[in-house]
Amino acid sequence: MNYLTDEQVAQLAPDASSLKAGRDLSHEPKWLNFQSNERVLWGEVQGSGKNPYQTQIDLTNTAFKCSCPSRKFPCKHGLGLLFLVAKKNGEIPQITEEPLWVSEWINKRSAKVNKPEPEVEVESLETLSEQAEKQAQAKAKRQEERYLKVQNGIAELELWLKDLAQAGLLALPQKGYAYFERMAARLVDSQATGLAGLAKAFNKLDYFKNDEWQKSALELMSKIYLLIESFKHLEQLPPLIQEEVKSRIGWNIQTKDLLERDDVESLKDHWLVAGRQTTIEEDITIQKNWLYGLKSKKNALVLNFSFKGVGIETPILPGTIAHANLIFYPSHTPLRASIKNYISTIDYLPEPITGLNSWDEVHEKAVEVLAQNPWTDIFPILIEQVHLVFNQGKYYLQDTTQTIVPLSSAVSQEQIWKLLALTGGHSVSLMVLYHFDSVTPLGIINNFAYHLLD
Amino acid sequence: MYWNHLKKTALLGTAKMPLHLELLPEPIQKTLVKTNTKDTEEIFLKASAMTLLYEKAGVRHEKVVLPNQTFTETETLAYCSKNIHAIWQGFLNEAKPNEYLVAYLIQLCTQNQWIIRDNLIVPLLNKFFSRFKVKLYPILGKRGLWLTQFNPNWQDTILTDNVWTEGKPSARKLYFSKLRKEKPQEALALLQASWSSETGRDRKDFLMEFFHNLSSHDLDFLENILVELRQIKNPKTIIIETIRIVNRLKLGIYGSDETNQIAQYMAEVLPKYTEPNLITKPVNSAFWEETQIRDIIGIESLSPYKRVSDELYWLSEILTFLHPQYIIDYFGHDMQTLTQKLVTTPDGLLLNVFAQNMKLATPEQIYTFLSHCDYSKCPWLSLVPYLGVEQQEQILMKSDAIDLVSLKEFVLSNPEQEFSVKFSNYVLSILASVIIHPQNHYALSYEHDLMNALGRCLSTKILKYLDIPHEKLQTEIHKNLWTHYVVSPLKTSLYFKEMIQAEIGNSTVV
Repeated sequence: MNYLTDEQVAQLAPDASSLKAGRDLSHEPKWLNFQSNERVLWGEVQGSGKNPYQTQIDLTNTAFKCSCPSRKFPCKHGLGLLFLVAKKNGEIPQITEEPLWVSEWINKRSAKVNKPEPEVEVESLETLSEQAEKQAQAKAKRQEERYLKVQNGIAELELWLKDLAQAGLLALPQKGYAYFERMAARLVDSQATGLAGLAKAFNKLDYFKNDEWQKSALELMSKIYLLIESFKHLEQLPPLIQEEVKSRIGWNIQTKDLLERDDVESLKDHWLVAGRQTTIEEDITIQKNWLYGLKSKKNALVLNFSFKGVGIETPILPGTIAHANLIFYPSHTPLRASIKNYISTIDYLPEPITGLNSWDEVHEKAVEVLAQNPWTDIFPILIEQVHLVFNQGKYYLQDTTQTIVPLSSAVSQEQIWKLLALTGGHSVSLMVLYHFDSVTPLGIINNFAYHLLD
Repeated sequence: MYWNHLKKTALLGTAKMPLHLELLPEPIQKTLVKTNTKDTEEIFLKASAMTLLYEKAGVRHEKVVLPNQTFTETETLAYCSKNIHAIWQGFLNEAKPNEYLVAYLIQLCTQNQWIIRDNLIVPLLNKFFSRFKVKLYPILGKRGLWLTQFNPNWQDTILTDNVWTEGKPSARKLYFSKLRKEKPQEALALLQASWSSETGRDRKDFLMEFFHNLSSHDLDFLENILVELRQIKNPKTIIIETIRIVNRLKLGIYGSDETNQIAQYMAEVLPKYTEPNLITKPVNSAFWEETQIRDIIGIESLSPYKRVSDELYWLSEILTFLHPQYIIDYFGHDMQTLTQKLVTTPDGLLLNVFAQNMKLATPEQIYTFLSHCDYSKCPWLSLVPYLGVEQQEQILMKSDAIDLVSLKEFVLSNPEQEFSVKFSNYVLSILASVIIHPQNHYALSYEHDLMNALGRCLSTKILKYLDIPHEKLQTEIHKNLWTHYVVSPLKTSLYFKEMIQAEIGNSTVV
């Protein structure tokens, strides 16, 4: 049985209370029964109702169903059952034939996943071409209208930015939260949500801790300026750079549209899910999954979103290797991707992988990307033979050439101790996020295992 | 570094501080010169965008040679099994794990010389160090101990050996108190070595700890210091008090000449109170002054109790400290007579004080005493921990007086006990009695600690009976309270205990 580990199950919890409740339900005596086979795991647990709750988990595509009234997804029963299986190392009763309530659901799901393409009624070529022309015209009109909206928003943003430059950064702390929110709201109205995010980022700076906010604020202004300038000269840019600029301004491509496109890169590989970062902003949970292709040596960033704490259903789990086909969003430096086709998960590295040998090499590679994409902040990379050192009150990662790069301030003390505990201070191969002036370790590669540092 | 050239203009604004292009990198200067604009804000924004990227791309990381801090030793102990690892993981996952069971697992891992795997070291230290301190060290392995140097919160600052030589008086007393209870011989040796350099007040405080685990091993030391203290001319109050403590301690050691003498004196006074109907040899009115017993151990001259004469009070004070063997000898080892006679004194005073000191007797003597004595007249429950496991259970099950308070006192005084199935069921019946008592319905809802301790002590064989409500529980509300406050917490704990014991069983088979 392909079961998830305790850490992996914890990653599925929609919030802390579900995690706790799920763990409380991981004790065997609480379950009336639980069984599994290759494709589905199920169990019955006595809840507050008269009848026991029936919990089912699709093991192939990690999906849940439970008869409890909870609106959380997955519910505590789903999590509890997975925790229980993790605790028992997957050694639970195996039954090939599922009960009716399980087989009904899982068969429906299998049918949905393998649903054949709907047959299109054969229409005359003339009608089809007419329809296509109409759709293209409507689409072009919509695009033109949006372009104009964005153009107006950007013109206003440019004035706003120049005002900031004229008044100086020292005036920023007095501007107040509403000043940046107002600009962000106007940009949202102009359908430039990417730029709105950059305007809002001024509110995340800590203006009162030390002077670090000054450089960060100027960097934000520079990023905005570069996007404005790029937009002004959009037509002169190569198509893939146009896509990158548009995506950063706020032209989002829906995953289903992306999957239908023929002009985008897709790549089948064994993807190491090297790390996951989850943040919550204004009720929206943003999950960043950093992936590394074992054969292709390509990086990928799979983003998932959910609203109001609803759990995110994704087959990829940090610390595992997902055999999958990824489709990349169009860019001249492709990074963001979606899962086109998930095949399976393994929890060991099928073959040895090697990374770069020094921070100088890492920096060189990162600069190559930066030269093509000036908005690059983070560069995921595997580096060989680095170890943790402590120097003048700060922790660094040192390579074999004695070069040191400080750990990012976002790295917690607990992560540092975990790294020390697992490495004993010795050199190891590390998956990291390189931020040019600092680094965030994601996990350690040791023989054929990947140890997540979360 | 180029940020510094942009900084002034960036902070003050282009209106007040125009940008000096000549300070920027040459390629950027050239590009800006080509820009056909006089808009100072635009020039500044262009310059800053290019300069910051230029700086970002040109980052040069420092090269330094630092001292080696790596872990170089080799682990010599075995890592714990996969199942023990899973139990640890289970405890880490619980928001409030049963600490009695955590202590149990630490103890078993320590006994079996098993260490935890590297990935558990940090979570375990983070979650349990504040509670278990250095007790965690043996299961961390050499790597874990090496790791503790990186976090001062993982280093025990109170109970380390240098506390004795360098610590504050309060820390030294805490250390000594703990040592005397756990390793009385070591505590004796420690105080013997440092006696001459201790202050009068500290000496007195340390000697007070000798009432724990008092034995004949302490006698030489006590006699030596008594000789030393008696030689002091014009002793201060603290010295007089210390001498009295030593004398009281000596009374608790069976067989010394002075104690034998005092026991003999007691034999003269005792019949007056234990045999009131017999015509006994009258005690000389000057007896107490002549023997100086009151002065030796420092007894107040007036009885503080109503209906208790001064003489009976003095006698009871002496019995509080006198080794119980003397009284047992006095009654010809007939424990039944002893309890009957001592209980006849007003308020059963002599039985009460005798029972307090009975902990110095042998487990068999304590068992015989408890088998005969009236539980309502003496602090019998405090003697139970000095019995063997089976005898403890027999005594407790014999008593109808066990209530929640007594049960709690018994369980929490030694939460490392292993109850038999029979006694475990008896405990469940006590808990059921608590629930059905009209004034105690919700009493168990406050007893998390007791429930955790019971989760450690009760037999796991009762797991199968837990779902069946106890026969005493008749109403739905009682059954619900039972499920909520008894079954639910005990099930979780006993499930963990069962897993731990299964693992220990496997390891001994191997």
